[in-house]
Amino acid sequence: MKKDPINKDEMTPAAPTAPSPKADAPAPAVEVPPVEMDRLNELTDGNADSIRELVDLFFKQTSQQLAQLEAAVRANKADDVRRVAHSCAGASATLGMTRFVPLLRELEKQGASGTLTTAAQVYEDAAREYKLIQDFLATQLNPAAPPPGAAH
Amino acid sequence: MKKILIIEDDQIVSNVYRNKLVVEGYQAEVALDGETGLKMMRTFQPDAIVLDLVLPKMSGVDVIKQIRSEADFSKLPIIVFSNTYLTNLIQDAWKAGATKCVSKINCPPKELLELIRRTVGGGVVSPALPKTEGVPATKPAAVVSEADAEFQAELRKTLIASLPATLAALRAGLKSLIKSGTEVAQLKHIHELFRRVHAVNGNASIAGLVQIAHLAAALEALLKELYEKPKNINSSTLRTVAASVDFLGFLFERGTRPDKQGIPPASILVVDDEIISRRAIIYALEKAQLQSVSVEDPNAAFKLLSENQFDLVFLDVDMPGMTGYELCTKLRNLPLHKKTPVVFITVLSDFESRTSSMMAGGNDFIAKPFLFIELTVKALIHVLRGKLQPAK
Repeated sequence: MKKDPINKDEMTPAAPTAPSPKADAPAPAVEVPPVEMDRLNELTDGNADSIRELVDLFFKQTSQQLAQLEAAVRANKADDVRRVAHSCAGASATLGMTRFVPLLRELEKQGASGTLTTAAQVYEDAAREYKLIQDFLATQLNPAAPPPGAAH
Repeated sequence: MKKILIIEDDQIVSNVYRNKLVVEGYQAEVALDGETGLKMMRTFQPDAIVLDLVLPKMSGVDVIKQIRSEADFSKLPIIVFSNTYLTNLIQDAWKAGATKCVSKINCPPKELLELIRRTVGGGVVSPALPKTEGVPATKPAAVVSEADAEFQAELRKTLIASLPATLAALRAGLKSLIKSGTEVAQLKHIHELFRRVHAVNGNASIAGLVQIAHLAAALEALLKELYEKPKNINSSTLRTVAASVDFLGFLFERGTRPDKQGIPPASILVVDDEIISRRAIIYALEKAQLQSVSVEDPNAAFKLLSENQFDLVFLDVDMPGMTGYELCTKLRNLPLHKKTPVVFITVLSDFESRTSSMMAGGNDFIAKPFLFIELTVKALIHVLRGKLQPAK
């Protein structure tokens, strides 16, 4: 029943320390990264191969879903927009895509209401954010490689 | 005589280990925080260090880093006590240079003693046995076993006597947390609750009260995550903390029988149409060594439910073909699952979730995206409750 709790994987997860009382002063505002790497690292126990496999799965699934979303928005198929955006948001939230999720939730909301008022614009924003996620993860998972788009 | 330094902030736990080591022929000293531990290390010159990872003032990982940075101690064996549920912390301890990492729950005093013997040698040589060349003599196994059993029974008795006071303190801490009006106040009360639960985990572990230790360890990890990432403090996570404290009270009454320890095997069904979400749920369950079956199709899930007993079911709400609520209503009509705990995983608002969940016959729900450890805690509560209090 008991499995060995010890994990010797060599990835670099976030480093939580023992809680200690914090100062009352608010922390300075920092830009939110496209992906919470803590969640990805935890979900894979920090194993590099597992992270890559999970990220590949996410990219494959999300690329298809974004294509479906684009088609559904163009065809004004509100229920399809709701269904695909909901599924895409679930996976993205699970993996800590913090900026991507609200855009998908907005598409889901508009789809559920049956009125795709600004869905085309929101879709464009979501597609742009997805590209940022791809670039971010490429840099995180291949730190030695130049960031995509850097070599022009 | 071999010398062991114990760095552990819980005085009960550290004294139990020290006394055990002294009785067994070691020279042992205790430091109650990391900074003191480092100072004592330089004067006491131990043969090994036993280190708790969660310490005041200086974290256990930082203590390891400091030890490894000093030439005289770069090879010193460091045996780390960890909480199984603090996965990232264990990884950090390995990377910092820990020699061995053991779970507190799996390492009562006699196990620790064996580990120290294997790591640095030393300990009692029984006068009753002639020493054979090249073979370290030990006490007769039966004598050791009997003494250990008595020792642990005494520890358990003492701990059980203190449980009502412990529960009262936990409930008071929870009440303060729920009433907190600001994030600063919330964090203060979460930290206090964390320290108390950490102590429960340590004390229950050395007394062999494994179920209490497991739930306390999982709750400790959840509180740590909430403290470090306050954005995760919401009605779902606070409800889970409250349910955990409540269930600790239940375990204090019914989970102390020595013959009823360990996490019982459980059969769990996970139904979610999205593969990454399923994977996250399975991962969270595996943290508590809970095995599960997962399916993406609610109709396939219903077939499985019709033919098999499950101890717990996790249901996504929004699935094509059949919603989680519809599936729950259907499964309640199956004789096998009239009382099976059902937890909905949903993005819906608190009020909507509570109402819809209850109307469909669900027992609980958790907000998406959930903290992995939050789902682990919920699963432990439902599985243990089901085993200790079978449905009527």
